[in-house]
Amino acid sequence: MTALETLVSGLAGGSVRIIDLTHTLDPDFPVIVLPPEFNQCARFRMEEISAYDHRGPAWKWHNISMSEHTGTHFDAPSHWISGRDVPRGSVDEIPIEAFVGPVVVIDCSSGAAENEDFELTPGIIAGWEAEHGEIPEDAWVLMRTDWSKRSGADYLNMREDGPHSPGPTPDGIRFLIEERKFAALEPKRSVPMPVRALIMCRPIRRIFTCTAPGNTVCSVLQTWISFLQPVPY
Amino acid sequence: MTPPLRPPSKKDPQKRTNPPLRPPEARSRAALGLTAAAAEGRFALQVCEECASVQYPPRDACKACLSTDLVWRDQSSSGTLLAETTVRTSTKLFFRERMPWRMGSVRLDVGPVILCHLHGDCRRDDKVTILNRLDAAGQGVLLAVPAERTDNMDDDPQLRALSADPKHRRILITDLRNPNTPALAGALLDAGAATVFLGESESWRPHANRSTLAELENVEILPLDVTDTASVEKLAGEIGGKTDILINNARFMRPGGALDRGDTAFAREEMDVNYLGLMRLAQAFGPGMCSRTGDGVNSAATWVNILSVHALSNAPEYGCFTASNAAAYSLSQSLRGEFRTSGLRVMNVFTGPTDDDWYQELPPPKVTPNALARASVAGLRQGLEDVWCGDVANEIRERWRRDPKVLERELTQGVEGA
Amino acid sequence: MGKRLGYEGIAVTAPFSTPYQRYSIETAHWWIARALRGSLRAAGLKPADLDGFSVSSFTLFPDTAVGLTQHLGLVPRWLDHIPMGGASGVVALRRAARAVQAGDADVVACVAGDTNHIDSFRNMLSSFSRFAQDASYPYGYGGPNANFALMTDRYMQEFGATREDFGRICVAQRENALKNPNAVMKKPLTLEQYLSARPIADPIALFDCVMPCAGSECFLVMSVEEATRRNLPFATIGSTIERHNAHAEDPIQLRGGWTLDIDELYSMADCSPADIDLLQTYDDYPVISMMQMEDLGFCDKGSGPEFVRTRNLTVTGDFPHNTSGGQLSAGQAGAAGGFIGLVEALRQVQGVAGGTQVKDARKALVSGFGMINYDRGVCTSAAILNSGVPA
Repeated sequence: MTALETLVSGLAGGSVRIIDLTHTLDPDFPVIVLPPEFNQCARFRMEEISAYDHRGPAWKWHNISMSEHTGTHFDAPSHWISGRDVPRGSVDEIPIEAFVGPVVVIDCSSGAAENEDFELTPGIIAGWEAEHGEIPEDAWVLMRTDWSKRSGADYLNMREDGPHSPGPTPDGIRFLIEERKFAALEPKRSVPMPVRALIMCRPIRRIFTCTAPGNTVCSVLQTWISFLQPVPY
Repeated sequence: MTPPLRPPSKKDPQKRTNPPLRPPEARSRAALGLTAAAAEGRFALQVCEECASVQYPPRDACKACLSTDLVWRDQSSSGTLLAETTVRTSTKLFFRERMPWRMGSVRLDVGPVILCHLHGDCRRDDKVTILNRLDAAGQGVLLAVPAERTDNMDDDPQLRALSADPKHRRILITDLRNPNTPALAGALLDAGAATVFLGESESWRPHANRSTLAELENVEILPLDVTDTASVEKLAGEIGGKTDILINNARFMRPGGALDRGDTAFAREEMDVNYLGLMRLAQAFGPGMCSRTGDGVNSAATWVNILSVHALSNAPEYGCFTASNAAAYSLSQSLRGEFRTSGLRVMNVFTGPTDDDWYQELPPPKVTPNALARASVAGLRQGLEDVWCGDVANEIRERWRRDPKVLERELTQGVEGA
Repeated sequence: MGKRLGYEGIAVTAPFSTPYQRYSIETAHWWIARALRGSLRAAGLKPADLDGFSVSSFTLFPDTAVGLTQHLGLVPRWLDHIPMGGASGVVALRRAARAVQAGDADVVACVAGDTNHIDSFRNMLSSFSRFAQDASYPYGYGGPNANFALMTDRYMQEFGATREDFGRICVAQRENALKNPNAVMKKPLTLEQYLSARPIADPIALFDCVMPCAGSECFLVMSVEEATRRNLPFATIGSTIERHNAHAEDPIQLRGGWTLDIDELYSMADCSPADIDLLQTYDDYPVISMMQMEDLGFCDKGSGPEFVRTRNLTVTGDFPHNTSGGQLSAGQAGAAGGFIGLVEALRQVQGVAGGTQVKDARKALVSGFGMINYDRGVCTSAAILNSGVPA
């Protein structure tokens, strides 16, 4: 069997499962809020074009509008100023193969449940590696926080000093980038600025933000995760 | 003495809602001068520029000297009631459903004799004050009220029909987050509003107004985002049938004109909130409100927009925001036409710079939230169409009336060079 | 003012009233044709014999007298359309008389008629006048009821009139109407019934108000020679007056334009109020009849109430008034309401009034009042008619 046939028969037989890491967007879906003098991330909007009515008698459809930064999304290297000169640094230019790779999941859900500012540190990564072995090259690293179980104001968790949520420390990211040369992961919403700058300045790094309403390959439930994945050039 | 107006009893679900009816709307062009004055709550009459005679009913030529140079000027509203009657039968359905209806003949101190609606506390030979108010047809009509205030005076049914008094009414304020919302809600509750609904967008984004207002009695915070059609429609589905007054205070503003900004991002948001937001609200809430203008004590009464006075003439420091307000103002005029046959009013509250974050850089005078709230409630009580709130708004109005081009030139004046 | 030319040699003849109906499915054209035909028949004339035509109507729209000539097949050389409501009868008379005197026309038919559909009255109100549209009807849309309620209210206050005083006028007219087979009102009316009637616009109640109906009235004006040649009974014109927008400075109408012209009215007719055998006032509400008794010199201003208390206003009384029952009891057929008193007066002085005939009626005074343009009636008119003597 070719690799593709193996995958297809695994999917058909149930030994390989497809996990949906996306959120369903609605107009009240929280988005990043910047200080008001900056241009803002557009809210998700869905306007009916027609619904079997005088505007179109036999069909229902919508116009949608949103920011590229809304819900489950992928931050291209050029998203951040430190990555603006990365060659082929925008989403449409990244080879499609770069979006497929092995995944490891570091389960931080119990820590994030106790501490909303829970941090993924080099020590935690080392602990994971001690149990599961070294993170392989070209792997995606998922940080499980269960943040996706929250919604609305809890999800954004805004305080007077800004939103609070779990995430990796700059050291943790640096370790993944420099020591493992492949992947980091984070609950992206709360990635502190230095971390973001660090990731983006590498030509081979990108960040995804996504969510998993169902199980993940590693039986991770309801995880809010971000990916950092090496790009092969 | 006027008996106090009781809160409406619970609606009989088996009873048909009274359809919207109107008093006569047809007027000559000259007579619309009365309507124009009533829109601002002024009592004005035609005056001959040549011989200074004051006349009524409105004419096209002076009855004293045949001059055609007639202008409308504010007049003393004092007079004496010559005769009174209580009309008990009328061929016009609007009045038929509201019988008996009092009317009278009043000799004004300034000369002319007027026929007018008559407050229940006025008696023949009494000194009376004449109010010029918009009726359900949107036309200026005159009402004689006692010269001195009487008990429960505002509860007189004929006076109330010429107002949009918040008393016993249910009022939706569309934007909880606006800095003026707490003052508006407070003033409306003080004025006897039965319920104040507050629309809250993006409840995931906390806001100080929420905690202040959530504790108030007769206040309900409900999800509403004027930029989201589905949200507007959903709320209209829930409370559209019990929204008697809608106050649209949703506002998005940033400083700057077109060149300052260099893109259309903020402008889109301004149009989306300030212009399209009004349109979405009108499409969702308008039909229901229009169908309830005859619905008794808490009938639907008025649609209120809070607008920058620079909707009349652009202020380039806030050029793009102002443009969105001009669009909203224009749409409000369309709504007046579209609501006309139902008798639902549209009241625009034109304000100068308000005392909040986005006008920080401007010098005083500024309109405080309390001042805006007072003016809005007073406008509702008087049934106005145009309310000018604050010194700046009043000044802009005067300059605009005198010469719109001169005002535009002054507002767009450059800084003197070397 | 110089002495006006008299109306010598002018005959007014062939009075005809089409029996009124409360509601009609016919048009004003139909009603006018009926009355015109009635008068022509009475005079033995054919339509082609007419060379003058005068019309009063509110419900002809979109037609005017012009459209009616083609509609009715008339070829007049003199044509008039008189939009003066309750004053139109006397005005039509005096204009037609002058036309015949001057030779501009030989035989003039003066006709007034209106139909009354279910919604006619409301429609007529809505387009009655600009001032009414702008400044009267928006205030309760009470129509003339409200205007006369205000006048009555002030009149009662100024002169101490009571509802009973107005009731006397109405009750007497009903008594007269019972002798007129064409009257719309056919039941007796007592003062008690008048006083306890349903209020309409205080202080006006049901029996103070006319009943709008459909109907038409007509008479002919020609020379005395012509009338004599045709062997027609006729009346002659002692005098006429007409006035518009008098006393505009009065804050409320307590008198009419008659007061400006009353001396001329009697001097031209060479008589005084005491010589008048019967009075036909314009009576859409009793207060205005009372004002006419005052303003036409039968009593002083303000003593109208006392006057009606001491006089008997019926056909057989000492002051016969609105002998056919007037509009209050015979009905108000639109502009024909401006003719009803005149046509009845013509019958009276010709001695052909039948059941309502006043004994020895030789001299009648007819007055008109019309058009509540805003807060008061604008047009007033009056004429003194005498029994004709063949040439």
